Amino acid sequence: MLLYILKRVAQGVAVVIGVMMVIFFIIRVIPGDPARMIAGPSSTPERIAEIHKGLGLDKPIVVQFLHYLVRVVKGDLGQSIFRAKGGGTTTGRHIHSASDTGRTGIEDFEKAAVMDLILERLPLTLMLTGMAVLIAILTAGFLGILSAVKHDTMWDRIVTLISIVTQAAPNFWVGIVFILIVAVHLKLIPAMGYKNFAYVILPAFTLSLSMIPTWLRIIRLGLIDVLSKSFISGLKARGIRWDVILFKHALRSAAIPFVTVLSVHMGYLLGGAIIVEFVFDFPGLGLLTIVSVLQRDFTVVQGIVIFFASIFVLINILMDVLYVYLDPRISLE
Amino acid sequence: MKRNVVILLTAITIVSLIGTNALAAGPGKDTFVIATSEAISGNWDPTSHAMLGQLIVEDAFYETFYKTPCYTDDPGKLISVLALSHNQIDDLTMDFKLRQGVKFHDGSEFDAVDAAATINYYNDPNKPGYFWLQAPYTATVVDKYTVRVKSSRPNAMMLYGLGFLRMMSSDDIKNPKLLAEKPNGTGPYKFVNQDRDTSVLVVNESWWQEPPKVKNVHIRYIGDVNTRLLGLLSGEYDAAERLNPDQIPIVEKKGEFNVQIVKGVEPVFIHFRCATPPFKDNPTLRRALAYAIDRESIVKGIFGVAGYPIYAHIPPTKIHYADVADFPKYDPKMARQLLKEAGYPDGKGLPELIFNAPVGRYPKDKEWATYVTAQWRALGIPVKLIIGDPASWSDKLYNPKEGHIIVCGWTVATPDPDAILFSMWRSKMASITFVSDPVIDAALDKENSTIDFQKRKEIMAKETLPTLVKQMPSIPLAGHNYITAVNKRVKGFEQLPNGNFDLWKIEKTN
Repeated sequence: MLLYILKRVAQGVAVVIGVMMVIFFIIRVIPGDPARMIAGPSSTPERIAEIHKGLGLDKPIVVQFLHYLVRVVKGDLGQSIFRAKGGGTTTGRHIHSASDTGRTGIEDFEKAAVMDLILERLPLTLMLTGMAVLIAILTAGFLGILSAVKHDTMWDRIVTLISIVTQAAPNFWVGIVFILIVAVHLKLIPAMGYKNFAYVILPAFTLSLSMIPTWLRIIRLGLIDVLSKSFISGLKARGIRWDVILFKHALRSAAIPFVTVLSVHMGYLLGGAIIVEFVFDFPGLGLLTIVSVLQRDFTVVQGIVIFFASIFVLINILMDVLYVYLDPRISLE
Repeated sequence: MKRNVVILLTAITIVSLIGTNALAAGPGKDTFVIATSEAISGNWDPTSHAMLGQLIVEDAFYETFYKTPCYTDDPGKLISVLALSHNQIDDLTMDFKLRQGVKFHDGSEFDAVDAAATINYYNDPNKPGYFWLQAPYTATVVDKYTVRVKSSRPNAMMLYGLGFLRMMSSDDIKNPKLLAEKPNGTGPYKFVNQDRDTSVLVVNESWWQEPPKVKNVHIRYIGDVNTRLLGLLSGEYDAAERLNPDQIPIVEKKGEFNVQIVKGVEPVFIHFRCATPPFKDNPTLRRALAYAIDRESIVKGIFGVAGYPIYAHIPPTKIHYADVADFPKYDPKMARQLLKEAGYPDGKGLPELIFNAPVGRYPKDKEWATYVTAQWRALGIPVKLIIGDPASWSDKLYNPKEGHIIVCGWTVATPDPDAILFSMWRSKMASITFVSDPVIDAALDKENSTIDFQKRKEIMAKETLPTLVKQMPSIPLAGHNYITAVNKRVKGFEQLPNGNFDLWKIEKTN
């Protein structure tokens, strides 16, 4: 088991480095030079060059990547280009400089460390995604079981319809509709930003909707298959209670494909969190990602992507280990 | 057992809903929350920036000699704050008499030593704050409440430029690091902390006027206009600025908000890159493109309430604004004639003109840029429109090699026109057009060096503004209106034309 885990970790590290390379090069190719945004309107080419040098952007891109890789290995994801340590961020668009040197005050004060920014917002994103997963598991579980047990009845068709409609609706649209109905018109729960746990409910529910349709179908299909097996008939014949058969025996077997999908969906979950956080102005990692992309804050975007990639790899490893627990027949090899 | 579980879950749900409903009630009577559209830098040294978003926040805790709201019916109006009066001694020298009994937030007294130290601190060409001065000054103390400022050259912008400086404590100026982290002003609110993108302020009970009734202010940067709107409608914010015109009916339909539409200080221009062909040294070509645009239709049909027409290179929220009589009106025939005179009959011979415009930066920017492109192409002018997100557009803005034409608005919260005129069109300072035109320079230098208010007004109306129209380094498209929605539970809120709001005047009913 230990050897297997170590092997998976090594593979995971290679994946993360690959992701790092891709994001590093992509973000430097798209239009938008942070040095020019920092330097401001009266900047000379010499001043732009000076800032490029200060940010390390004057070196060949491969050299820049290697330097960055070494820092990441040491746990240093760098500093934000635009965010101050004390909070606040400049868009760089309206920094006027009256001199030919084009200096602004941006580089004169301490910038926020990328890791600090991530750790500050991570608990909120974890709270959001955790709540979304819980809602999705409970809802998909309930509907999937209902649909499987009442297979080929009106209930099954209603659940299928719910699944189709939910999957078709884009979550940014659903989010806005929820805000308008629940927060604006009915004033039931707050929606925008974050002050306390109440602000997590609506965005978490919106995020869960992107997972519920697939999960409930998998649970439904898995359960239908298991419930048709002969050992279930045997359990019934022995007089075992139906709820014990369902939850202790059938569901456990049906859960294995669900676990596979769960690990893959973690990636979608994190991506979906970006959109949902933007719609709800939820101050998690997702919103930070969008703002940083718009600002061309290279270091923050890189740091977040690397962080997410690492989490994703870790979750996949954990899921593999979970399989063994769920079904001892499965060998890690 | 099952029934007990169901009862328990139902009870939890009901309690949660009641609890969260209470939390959905809004910021409360003692806290005013406004969603703003511009970010801050987080460096509270006022000389370190000229950022709109930060000026709005600073206005709550720093004070200036005078306030200048820039109302169109009296753009030059000065409202006494820390200066009771001023006296122009000669063309180079001005004295300011200061208000007595004013204290900084740390309890120290504000006097001429602080005023002089502040002006001298701003007086560094390497600082972005120097933008408000535009000339070297030296400030000295005459007596405890009189400061004398001497310019190195006659500069008509002296009064409004100096009047705009945020007064800092001389002790704080000795420690710029502290200044950057913790602002210490004299204003009605004190800075508490920066909570991510929210500036948290609390009332200054020792303010020299009666303290504000609302104890707490949160100024939240929300870049996305739809998020600002949703937050306002859901009750999270008391006010949201810079909304779009098509959002007004949604807000008004709710019945809970007042919408203020105010002529702002921001004109939006179509700038020509005047340092490179084909626009270099070719004002005739530039005027041709100006005549080809139906500005009135754009303002009426696309901007709607988001804009208003202007007929000069400054908006009417600046002093000495005057409509220029022969400002180009839509005239395709004249445009063709000028194209021919410029050496490009029906656009033949012109390279493909790269026209850069942003999307989501200004109201309906993509829409009117598309319309303008179509109008130019209708005359045979080869134009390629490139729409970019704000970051990629901004990257091109100050780069003379990027494109031939580019859109940009210019917001300066002072009524003096030179803050626009010099930074847009004076040689060596023109940071977007890169124009170097001795005719324009002469016109700008003449009005800038004329200290007499009336004489300067005449020069602006008869020479400066008509010269800019004749040389046309940029096409002024329109002025922007600020659209701000305020919850009716807030009384006394006013969106000012200069982009700020007097937070100390507001009260809340709940």
